[in-house]
Amino acid sequence: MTTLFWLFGVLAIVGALGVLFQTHPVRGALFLLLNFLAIGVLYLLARAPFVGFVQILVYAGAIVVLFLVAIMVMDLRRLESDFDLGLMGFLTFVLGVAFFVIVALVLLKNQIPEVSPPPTGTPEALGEWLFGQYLVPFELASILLLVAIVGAIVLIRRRRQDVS
Amino acid sequence: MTAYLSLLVVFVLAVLLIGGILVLSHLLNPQRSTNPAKGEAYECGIIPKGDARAPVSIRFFVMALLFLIFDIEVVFLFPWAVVYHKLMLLGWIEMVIFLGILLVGYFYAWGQGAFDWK
Repeated sequence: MTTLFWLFGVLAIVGALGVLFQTHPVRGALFLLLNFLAIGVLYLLARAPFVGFVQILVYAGAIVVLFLVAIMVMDLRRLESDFDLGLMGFLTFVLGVAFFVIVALVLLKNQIPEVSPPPTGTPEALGEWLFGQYLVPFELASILLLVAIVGAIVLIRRRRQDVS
Repeated sequence: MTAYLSLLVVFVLAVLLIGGILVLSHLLNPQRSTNPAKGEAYECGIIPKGDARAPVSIRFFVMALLFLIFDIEVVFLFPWAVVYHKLMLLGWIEMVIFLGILLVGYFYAWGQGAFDWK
């Protein structure tokens, strides 16, 4: 099991690095797919089968496909030309490094408890948590999804105003 | 954990199969000289013109986004359904609120004509 954890942990990191350093968008999306799949297996290893399969179904199955469609739809040559992010790229870099340092400090300062979790990732356990203790975050998730719907609709609305 | 042994076997077989095919095709492939014409799209012998990356309607993308949102909504139904017999009325109300909020978004999308193809 430890072997599998290391195998898929390294695969997840390779996928993430691939997304960062691959400049070809389609290859980047495929590296993202590798990352999502490896994380799905890590969920399985952490005894969270429901989360693991949802990770693979929704993230690897739907979201990466959506990214690939978006890459297909976009005019890529124009993207490549203004790839230089300037000040925003610098700020992103600084904030990213700061975030990494904070996470590393927290991890170093605090002892991570050895977990041998009960099967908390089964649909039953998840359901009892979601509809009991974590009801408010669950209902808030629906509002988050509502915002996403409105955001998607805005794409069409702006288009229509341009035409008229 | 043994329940996922079959998954591991499929994974290993997939890696071996794909790796084997790639290695074999590389070994068996006669080393012909490459020609740029060979990489071109074949269009009945006509020289291809234009670009494959023609602009596509944003509606495809919006439709995919909307699918994704309701996909996630349905995912939440699974853990709800398996504990429904314990929650009963309370669980029903909780889910009605959740679905109700999303239904607002559904009707908004409908009203804005997100499902029309014009």
